[in-house]
Amino acid sequence: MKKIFLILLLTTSTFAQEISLSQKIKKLSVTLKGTPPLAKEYQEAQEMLLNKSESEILSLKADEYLASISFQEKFQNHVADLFRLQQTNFLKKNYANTNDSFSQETTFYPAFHLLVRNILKENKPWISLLTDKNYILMNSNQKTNFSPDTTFYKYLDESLFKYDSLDSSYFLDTNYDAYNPTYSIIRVEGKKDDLRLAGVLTTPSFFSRYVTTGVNKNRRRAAAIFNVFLCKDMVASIPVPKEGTDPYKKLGLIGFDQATEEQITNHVKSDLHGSDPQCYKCHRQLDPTGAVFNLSPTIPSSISSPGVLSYVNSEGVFVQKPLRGLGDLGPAISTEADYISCQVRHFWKWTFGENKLLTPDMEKILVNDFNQVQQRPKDFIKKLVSQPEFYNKVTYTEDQLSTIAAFKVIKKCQSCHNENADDIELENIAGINIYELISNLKFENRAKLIKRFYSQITKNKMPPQEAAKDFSESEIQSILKWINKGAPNFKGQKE
Amino acid sequence: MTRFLKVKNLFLFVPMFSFCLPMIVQAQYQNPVSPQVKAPLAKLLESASMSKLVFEDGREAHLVAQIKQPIPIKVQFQIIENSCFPELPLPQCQWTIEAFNLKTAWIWTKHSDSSKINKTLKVKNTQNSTTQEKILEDSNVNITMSSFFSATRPDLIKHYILKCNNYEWLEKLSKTEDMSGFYIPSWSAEQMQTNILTKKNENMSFGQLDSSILKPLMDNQFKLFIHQKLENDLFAGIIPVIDTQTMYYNHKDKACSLQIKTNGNLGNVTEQLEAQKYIETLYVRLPPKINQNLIFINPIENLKYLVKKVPEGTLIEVE
Repeated sequence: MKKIFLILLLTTSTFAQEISLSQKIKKLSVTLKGTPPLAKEYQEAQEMLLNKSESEILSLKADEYLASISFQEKFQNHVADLFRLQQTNFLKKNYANTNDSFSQETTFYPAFHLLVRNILKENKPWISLLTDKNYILMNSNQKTNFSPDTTFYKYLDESLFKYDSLDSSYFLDTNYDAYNPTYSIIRVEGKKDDLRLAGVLTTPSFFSRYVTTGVNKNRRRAAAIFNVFLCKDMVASIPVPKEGTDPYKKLGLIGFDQATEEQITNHVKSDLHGSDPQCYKCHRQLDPTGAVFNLSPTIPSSISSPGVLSYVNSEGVFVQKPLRGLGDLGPAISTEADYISCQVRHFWKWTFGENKLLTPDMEKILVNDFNQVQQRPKDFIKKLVSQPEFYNKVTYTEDQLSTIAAFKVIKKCQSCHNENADDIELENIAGINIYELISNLKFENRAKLIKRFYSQITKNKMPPQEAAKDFSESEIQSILKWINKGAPNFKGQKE
Repeated sequence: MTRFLKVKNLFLFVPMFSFCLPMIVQAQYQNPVSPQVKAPLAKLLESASMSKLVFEDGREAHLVAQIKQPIPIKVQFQIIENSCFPELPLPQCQWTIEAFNLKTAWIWTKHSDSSKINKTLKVKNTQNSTTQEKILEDSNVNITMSSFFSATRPDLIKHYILKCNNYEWLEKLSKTEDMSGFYIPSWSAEQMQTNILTKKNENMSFGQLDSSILKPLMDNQFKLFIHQKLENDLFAGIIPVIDTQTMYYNHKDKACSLQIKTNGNLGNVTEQLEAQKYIETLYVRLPPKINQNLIFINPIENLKYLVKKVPEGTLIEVE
């Protein structure tokens, strides 16, 4: 029997180990709050075992952690990471690092973070990230302090502003009841149908991170929306002058990598940016979507601007949904299947970790779960951490890790190699289920396709120059490494 | 870039573009670290029209704005892109503007040393003995239009006059409700700046004016009016000489924009403005939203050291 068990383990090559209750509570606490539990929690849990099952105890602990300020801070920062924004300092850290009351009093939270935090706190449907129009702005009580967010909404109607004292419950739990910042609160309460506002998109943080220009035409902002809400990996990239100092501004357009400002201007003049067929593949998606920011280059405009949510979805279908303004983006995106699966993937990463493979089958189950809980974040996270696999300590072999890494990169290739591609070369892996290709060793033409991947990469044909910016060197190497290992499947098996 | 810096110094742009994005973002993440222990040196007292500092020893200083003689400036520009109507001619245009130099400062109005009266208050800030001292006096800017004066001195609101060799582009903009002019829903300028969040240099829109109106004058010219709301705002004006600007508008269901490239070569206008004579001194009150205000940047900065507790080890001297 032992022998059979050993063989089974070697075959699957994945070592899942059951862990103790204390270890489970620790994992839960670190995942949801970012810190290990207090020593007394372990003891309390052991005592609870006398009249409660382990799963009941873990459920209670999950509820406790999900109700904590630390959870809101941690997940608020997860969302900030998605948007590539700075995280805010945890209030607790501010307290730990200094006894200085001034530092505590001036701890400032941007409107973006407070909005996300409120969505988490109130367990609002996740699409509230795009539809919530209730902003909380920290406003200095002192004339010499700077209140950065308050000027951002200045073009909106005065009637939307409500002046209030600071409600410490937004920031605190009982551990920090001494927090007494020198800020009052200004609430901006946009109506539900206000087309000028769209949740986190109309915050100073988003506008500052994703700046725009007359040439850029909000493409960078559209790309961020695709990236965060639809998991569509698209880099909004304008031709950048040779003398530009930003290494991220590697040009994505053929022939413009050495362009000067003047050449770019001429390009804009002659070609009306985006009409070039090569450019058009991305521009037809970015331009109409970014148009909703048209009147709002640095702050939300007093009037809305129309646009069209335009993107090629994961099925290769070119989706186009007219938008009367920014406020229509949330409702338009919320019904997209790509939006739901994308958000499920974010939550998976935040709870299970970067390296834990989310299989397509599991993703389908979780999409149902996400919908079942009306896309409410706390409820969904509770479902995720209730999965037995959450507590299993999984150890992957080297081969499996290389397979998982390669899978993630090869999937990215389909952002160009999709059914919508107008180039026969691009269609060769269009519509192929990459998960199936990798996991099923008997997949038709598997060896041939993998061999082709290898030759295209080593001959520097793929990724092509215009897409090179989307792939890091280590990502490209991860495919080669996987192929060099014999292209194992997710179980580490090889042909 | 050098030319641009000159231009930037020439006119304070914040006005209409009274929202300075990078500064704002930077402030979001600042956290003071030093304990505050020292008592304030002065009290800020404000009446309806004036702000003054009263020191413990009885000295007093008032906030003033000193204005130099305005001079006219002409700025050439070209519309280089009309995103919705590429078939229309791209015209050459010109702004005619008036600008003036403005100094704001705290000046001594009560002092035991009579030679100090009407002299600028200087704040010397030495933070610990290791850091360099910082001396703050006045703010000196060249402006074109500031609604800071709109209530008391409408004559100091300098409107711009527009003249183009073709106005087909203008006719695509919506008309105002009373049909008296054309409506520019949003207008922005660009500048290469460090994005505080990415730490990278990026060309970016850095200011925005909503709802300005171009009203026709005689002889085929237009006069620019800024939104009433902004007239009541802190201060408003524009810097039409800035290198690149974009006017945004909607045409039916389409988002449109007009890109503008200006000839920012203004020669020695800065020197000319500074060489003008002061024509008057106004006693003024700090604007209500001081964090938007670059006209008063140093007088406001001074407040930090005078009316607030300061970190231990900070030596504040007032002259």
